Amino acid sequence: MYQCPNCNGNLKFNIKRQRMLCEHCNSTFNPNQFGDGEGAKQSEIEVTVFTCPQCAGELFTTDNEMAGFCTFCGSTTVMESRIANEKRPDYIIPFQQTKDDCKEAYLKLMKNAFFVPKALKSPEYIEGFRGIYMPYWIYDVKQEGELNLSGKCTTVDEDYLTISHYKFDGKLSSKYEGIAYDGSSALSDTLSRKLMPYKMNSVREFSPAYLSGFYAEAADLEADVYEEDVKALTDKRTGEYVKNYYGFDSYTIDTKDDAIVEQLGTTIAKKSQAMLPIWFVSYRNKDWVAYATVNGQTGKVVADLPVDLKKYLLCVILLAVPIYTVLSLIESVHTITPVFLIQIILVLSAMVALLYDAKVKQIVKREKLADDKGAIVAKQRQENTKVKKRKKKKSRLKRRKTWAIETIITGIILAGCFLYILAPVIEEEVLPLLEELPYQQMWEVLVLFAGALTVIVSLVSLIRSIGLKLWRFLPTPFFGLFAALVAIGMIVLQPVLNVSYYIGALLLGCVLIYTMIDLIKRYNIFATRRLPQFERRGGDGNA
Amino acid sequence: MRKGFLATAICMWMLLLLPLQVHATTVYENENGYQAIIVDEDKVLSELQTSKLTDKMKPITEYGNVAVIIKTDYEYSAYTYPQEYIIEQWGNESAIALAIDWKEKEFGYDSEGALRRYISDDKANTWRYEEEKYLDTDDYYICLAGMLEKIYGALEEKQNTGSLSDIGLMVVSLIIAMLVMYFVVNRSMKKHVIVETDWLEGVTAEQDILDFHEHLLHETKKLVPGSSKYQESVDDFFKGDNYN
Ligand SMILES: [Zn+2]
Ligand SMILES: [Zn+2]
Repeated sequence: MYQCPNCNGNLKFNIKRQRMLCEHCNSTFNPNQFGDGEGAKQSEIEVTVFTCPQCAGELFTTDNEMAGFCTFCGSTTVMESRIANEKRPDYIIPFQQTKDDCKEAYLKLMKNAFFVPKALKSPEYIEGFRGIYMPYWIYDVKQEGELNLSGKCTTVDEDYLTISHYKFDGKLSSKYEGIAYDGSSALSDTLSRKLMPYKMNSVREFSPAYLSGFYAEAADLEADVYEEDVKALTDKRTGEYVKNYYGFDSYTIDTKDDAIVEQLGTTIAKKSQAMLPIWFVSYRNKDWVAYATVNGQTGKVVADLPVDLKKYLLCVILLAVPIYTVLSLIESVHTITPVFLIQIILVLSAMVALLYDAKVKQIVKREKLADDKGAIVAKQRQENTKVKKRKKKKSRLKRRKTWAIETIITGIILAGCFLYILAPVIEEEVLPLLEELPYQQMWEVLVLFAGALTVIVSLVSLIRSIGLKLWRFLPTPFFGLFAALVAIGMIVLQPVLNVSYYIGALLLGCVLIYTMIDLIKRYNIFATRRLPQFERRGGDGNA
Repeated sequence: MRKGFLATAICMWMLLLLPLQVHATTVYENENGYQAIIVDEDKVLSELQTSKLTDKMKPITEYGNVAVIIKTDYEYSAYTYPQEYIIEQWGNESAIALAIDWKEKEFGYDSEGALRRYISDDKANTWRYEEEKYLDTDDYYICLAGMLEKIYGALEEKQNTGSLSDIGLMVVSLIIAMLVMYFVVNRSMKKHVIVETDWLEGVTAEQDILDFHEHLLHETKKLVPGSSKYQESVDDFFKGDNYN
């Protein structure tokens, strides 16, 4: 807590004035004039650390008047607090967007997002926006390599084609300043990447006083985690610059891209830690948590957009009424036979199965290649301490690779089986039909194809889910598979009673409706995040 | 009062139909105004058979008009007559007509309106083939009764599964609506999702190549095919020793 030198009142960082403001006497001060907390070492600052009892997420602040709820998991239990020392960051970009600016920007985005749950637009929820300084590693890169390239130039005169071979040399002078990577595993890379860019030229020297009235997240990733990424990023950009250098305009460069990159002499000139401002609020559902974030400097909004299932279903019913009316009209002219009904539903089921599988695929992909480098590193660190666990993980990774191959093989075998079973049908029914191509039979072929597709795609979804041990995902494709098989059985065996067709059609229809609802749930899981579970860090020997 | 009026109307109707009565026409009319008619010009059916047939036709009048015609002097044939008869008698009201040419052994069928929707032509034709064979043995009653029973059976099943078929249509509408809305949701959400910007945006970057020099190493020359010098060299080649 910082006190006013004039009246001992509380000082808070004021965004509009970009200075410390005394609530009491309205005098303002430069935040950098306040030193670190007493008794703290130069490289560290004394702070109050809040730990979430639910997810072990941590936030700290220098403002001991603040109490907190967890921002990461949306839990409403009060966080446990303790006094600790944190590494002192080098720089800070103070908040420039006030909470009101942030709310306005967020509402502007949400206003047109019709399907987003109402709760995400409610004033109480928006009031929950909290200013958090996120730790970023800032890299400066220098590239001063000696360039030695070769190239050629072709000229044609009346009789001769002349190829001139050249050697080029020069000294590259290239530098990048302020490449930022988030240094916290709590913030996913995709989110932090979307919040970019920050204007790095407005960084200031860090002072703990800036944190008063705000929270901060501790960096739990070392600076070297991103070094290779930074080098790759700048190598690519500078490589392009060299290739497009105006001196080469009339030449074709022979030197390979890799060889150019080797000559760039890329070095990390400086690594520093900066605190960058984010307005942050989270919404918790049973299985997922949605983050809404606003860049505290530029006001750019990045939010997870889940779909409100109720709104979706309401729209579905509103749309289904005219569709039903049209279908009834058609029905009054051409009788829709029960067989035709089951055929239509089977064709629809192929579409539903494909959509569902596409979503499962996305989720599986995300689970496999956890898109967050920070999370991967945190995981690896955890594995290092537990070697046994690591071995297990390794074998699982291997197994995951083989899953792709297994999926393909199973698919081929199934397709083969299907062709084998259908071979007499193809020979007797399909082949002679190809000569005439009557509509009815083409439709029946389409239906059988759709049925086969449903079965195969459902199986693939099943295998995918089993591969990642996503047991919750299992029932839907299983029901789909079962109902599709029943429907195909009906079409092939042709039972006498019309009622059995109707029962088959309704069974498959209900499964499809269930699948679509489940698909929206999967959509939400993909559009949001899993409930976070952090490894408790700091003080546990992880320097 | 109203009943009396109805009775008079029916009597008038009967009177109008008197000339047909000569050809042994039986008429039944239910409370909805749907009729059951049997025209047996040559008296091939016994009275008992006629009354039994009427009993079988009565329940069908719940769905529309129904007529059975047995004669032999058709203008065209018993196959085309039902259609003519329905149009002449009831226009495009819901109706079914069966016609038998007892001499030519032909059995015709046609339907109109709601009854045509309830019983598909495909179905009716397969029954017609099945029943037509009884004409060879002059079993007119068996043929007609069989057909009427099949028609009524189908109507009854239709009645029982009618609600199922409606539910089926509702389910189909729901699934289509869900698929459409899913695409709508996807589109509308995509509009609000922010794409990642270039990572190096906002980063200060400076690039230059200092002391840039180019050095010519060597040159290779080739004759351009088709040029005059190229032609000369080709000529030289053929003139020279190589030619041998
Ligand atoms: Zn003061
Ligand atoms: Zn938490």
